[in-house]
Amino acid sequence: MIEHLLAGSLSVLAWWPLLAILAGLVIGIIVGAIPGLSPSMGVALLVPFTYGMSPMLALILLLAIYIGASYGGSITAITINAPGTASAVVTAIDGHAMTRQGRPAKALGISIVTSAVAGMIGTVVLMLFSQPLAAIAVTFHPAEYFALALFGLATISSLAGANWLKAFIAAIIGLLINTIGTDPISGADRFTFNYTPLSDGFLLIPALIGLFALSEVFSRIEQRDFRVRHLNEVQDSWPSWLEYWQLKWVTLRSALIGTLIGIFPGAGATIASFISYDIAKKRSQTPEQFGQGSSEGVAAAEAANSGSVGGAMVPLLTLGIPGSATTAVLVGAMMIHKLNPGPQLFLSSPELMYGLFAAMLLANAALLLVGLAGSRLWIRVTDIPKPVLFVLISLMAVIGAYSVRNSMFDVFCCLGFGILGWVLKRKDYPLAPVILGMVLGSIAETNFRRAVMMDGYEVFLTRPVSAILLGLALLSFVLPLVRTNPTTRKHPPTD
Amino acid sequence: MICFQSVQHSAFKACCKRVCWWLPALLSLLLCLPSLQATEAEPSDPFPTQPIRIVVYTSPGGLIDLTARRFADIARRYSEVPLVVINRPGGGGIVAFEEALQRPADGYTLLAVTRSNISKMVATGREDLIEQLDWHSYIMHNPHVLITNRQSGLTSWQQLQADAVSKGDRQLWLGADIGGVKHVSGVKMAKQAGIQMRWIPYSSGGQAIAALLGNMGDAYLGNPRDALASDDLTLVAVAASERLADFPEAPTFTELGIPGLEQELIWRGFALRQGVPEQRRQWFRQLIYQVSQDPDWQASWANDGVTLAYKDSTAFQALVARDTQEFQYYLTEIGLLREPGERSSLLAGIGEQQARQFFTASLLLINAVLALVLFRSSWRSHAAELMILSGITSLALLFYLMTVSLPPPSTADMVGAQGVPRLWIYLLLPLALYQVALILRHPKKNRLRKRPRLLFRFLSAMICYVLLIPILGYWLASLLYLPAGLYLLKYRQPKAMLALTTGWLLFSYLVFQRLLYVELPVGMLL
Repeated sequence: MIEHLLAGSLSVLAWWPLLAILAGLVIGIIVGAIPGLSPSMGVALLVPFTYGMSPMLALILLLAIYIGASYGGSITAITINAPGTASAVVTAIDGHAMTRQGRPAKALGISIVTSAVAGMIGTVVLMLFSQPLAAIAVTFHPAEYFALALFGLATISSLAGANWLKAFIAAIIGLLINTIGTDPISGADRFTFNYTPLSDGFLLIPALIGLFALSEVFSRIEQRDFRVRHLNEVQDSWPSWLEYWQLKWVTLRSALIGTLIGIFPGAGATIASFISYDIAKKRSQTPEQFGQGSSEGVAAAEAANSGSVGGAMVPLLTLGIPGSATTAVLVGAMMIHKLNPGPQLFLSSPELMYGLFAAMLLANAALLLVGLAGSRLWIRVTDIPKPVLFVLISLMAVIGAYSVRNSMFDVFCCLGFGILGWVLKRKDYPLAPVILGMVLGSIAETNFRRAVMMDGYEVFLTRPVSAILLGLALLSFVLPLVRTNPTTRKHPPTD
Repeated sequence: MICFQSVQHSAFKACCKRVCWWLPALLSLLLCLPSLQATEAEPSDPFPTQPIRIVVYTSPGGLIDLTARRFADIARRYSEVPLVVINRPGGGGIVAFEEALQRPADGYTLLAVTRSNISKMVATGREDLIEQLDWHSYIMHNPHVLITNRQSGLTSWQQLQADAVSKGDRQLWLGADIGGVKHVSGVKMAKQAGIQMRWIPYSSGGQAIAALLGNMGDAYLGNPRDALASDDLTLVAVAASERLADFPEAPTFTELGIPGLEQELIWRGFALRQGVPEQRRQWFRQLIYQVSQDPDWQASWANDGVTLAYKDSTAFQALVARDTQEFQYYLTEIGLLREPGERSSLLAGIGEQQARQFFTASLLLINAVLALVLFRSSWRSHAAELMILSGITSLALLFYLMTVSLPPPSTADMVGAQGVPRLWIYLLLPLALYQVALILRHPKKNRLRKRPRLLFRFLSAMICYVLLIPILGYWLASLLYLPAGLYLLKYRQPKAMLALTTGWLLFSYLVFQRLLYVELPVGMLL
């Protein structure tokens, strides 16, 4: 393996691959930062440009876009509370709180450094353990996927603090919204009122943009919060080396959680981010700061998100099985370049595979440079006059929601979710559980029904992993509630 | 007060005066933008003169997406204009079909189609979309195959069949989608072989293959190349008239003594909307023929178990008609379609429409009365939250009523389509009631907030903007909304407003329209 890695690294250390990494990162960050554009869209957009390239160069470019876009979603999450992806919702909780406290540089700095470090950790895990991890990934029964989704949902207790009741109601709203559309098992239309655009239910991206970006704009306009925080107020607040060092354990732990959960096809970065955040809060010495602008919260969410990229590459490279929308595009791109991802690829083109590993390591290192340089630019968002920023966010929300599938229906949904988010936020209902419910609802339902179809109801308890995860989920639900008096609402909403 | 109004009025006049010089400039920019877009060509015009869009009904990464992208790449050698792949996922193809049908019949929109589209249109009662298309060219197919995992001990069809007999209806076949083309093929295979199987649908073939590798099921039904995921996977039967060159060890169903499955395949091709001039149809015929003969095109499908076969429009239309009838029959048999051709409303089984309407009206009335009472009572400070809870509870009750007409649990699906929504509703109702009880028991003095007039104005402007987009088009609506929104938020910098409006329109055009091929609405006026 070492000689393959060395050969692969040497082939990456040339002008064109380095240029491809830089270009890919810049494009990816921009794509991730524009609400409505997803990492998969960014990668697909660039596939035609790779036709004339060598397979290695093409994949390096596309992987760099994937890595850049996975990070890019956190920029808008932190600066304007508009997470580009569902996993960036967790980053927004503390990241945007830090921005509102006048500490955007600190949040951006932490997010980029933890992203890059976690990305490297994920890549190292991918290099060393991809084969055994792939073997574990395929043995995950639907009962275990269901238990994992439930464990993810259990983080609501952690997100909510004293507002647990409202958080549960918000989560069930998300779960119920998720049931609208074609039933994944029977194929029947559920709650669609015979309206075709509803047959796919409410798409996540317009809902995300509405619930977070638009509701934030509406709240700020309601509060007439038009104060401009000038750059000179925040310029000196980039995190120090000591602050980064203090986050080493939370970063390492979250990166490993992200990588491990990322390997399961269909589970993905969102569950990883929420679970990492939950664990980080439980293990923190200052849990009360979570939701109020905690550095650990940002680090946990971002590290898990970036770590999951390496995890998602495990089933892709070892079995040719895409675990997410972006890796599905990468499979297509590999096939266009006449590469059949799977076990044979390790035997037929080891230098290519290890070259890709080396490129991923390098891309994460480069992300640090590009991201830190870019952060100095992104931070200027705080300098934009608020009326301009609010109107531009509303325009971006409209065009972003429309571009998901060229549908005005999604724009109406986005606006509807914006109003819903504002109403809920006004009454201290946290919004992150709504998204958590929307994301995990379908994973929980399809796997629950699939598991019952395969092995009956008892399977949830007879499979040890499922039973343990369900037990942990139960504990996660109950423990914070036992400690919390529901009638006291000392803490403001987490969003 | 009067003084304030007059100051406001004069400020408004001054602002209007400043604004009026740049409005014409912006309007001319706006008028230029659509002219930069694709103009509709006359049938006699030279063709093609602008990029051709290939609309794909899936997200990037699927096999049809890959086919379209490979085709677009090689077609560039024979076409003076590029072919650009546009992904329009949603509704199992309905979104892409509707988009292709909304475009002019000028030949600049090609729809990449597969047999899956037929099953979906039939399942949702949208056969009208099938009828409105010109099924132009059939370009390839690959047979459906049954794959098993050697680790499970099932390495041949005979073993799989014997296992099915011993398990009754407990043999699990994994695959993508319910009621899809593979599901229907599986039903036909089991029927022809005289066995029973239980179809376990996954959201993608990749996830189903992963489950087979983990021994979650007994067989997987999919494409031949899916077997390349692992050396443990083996093809036990192929639904084709002869063995596949790339998988010579795998027997066909005919060889196994099970006839009638030679056409169980997934085909791929291209369709146009009806009414495209014959000369342009001919151009596509020639292009598709040239691509089909290209050595790189042929080499790119080697080892994938794909058969490249061209069928012209007449043969393709006949095949589509046959498939439509077949899916109507089998989806009815599976229970996903009550009667052939029936619409999706009945697929969901919503027969109690009147009861639902009555219930909805009652809930609306109750909420309206409750709102009136609460906002005029001493509970006014809590009225908003109580109304939120009342609204959520009402919606949950309506959903509960609608679950009555969803497919009930069965031996194959013991939870049923209604199980999980009901579970969430059962959880929501007591929590919502508990929250109401907490409010009523601890009526903290909520400070009555001032009515957020500025927000309501801004919200009204935004709602008008969104409603006006389909009428005025994106460009004109944005041109009006951006300065109006800024003005409402008390931003009074005409030059900056001009720069922002121009910059935004250019950004939208360059990034979304040109780079991402997002067709922004042009409205009814242009």
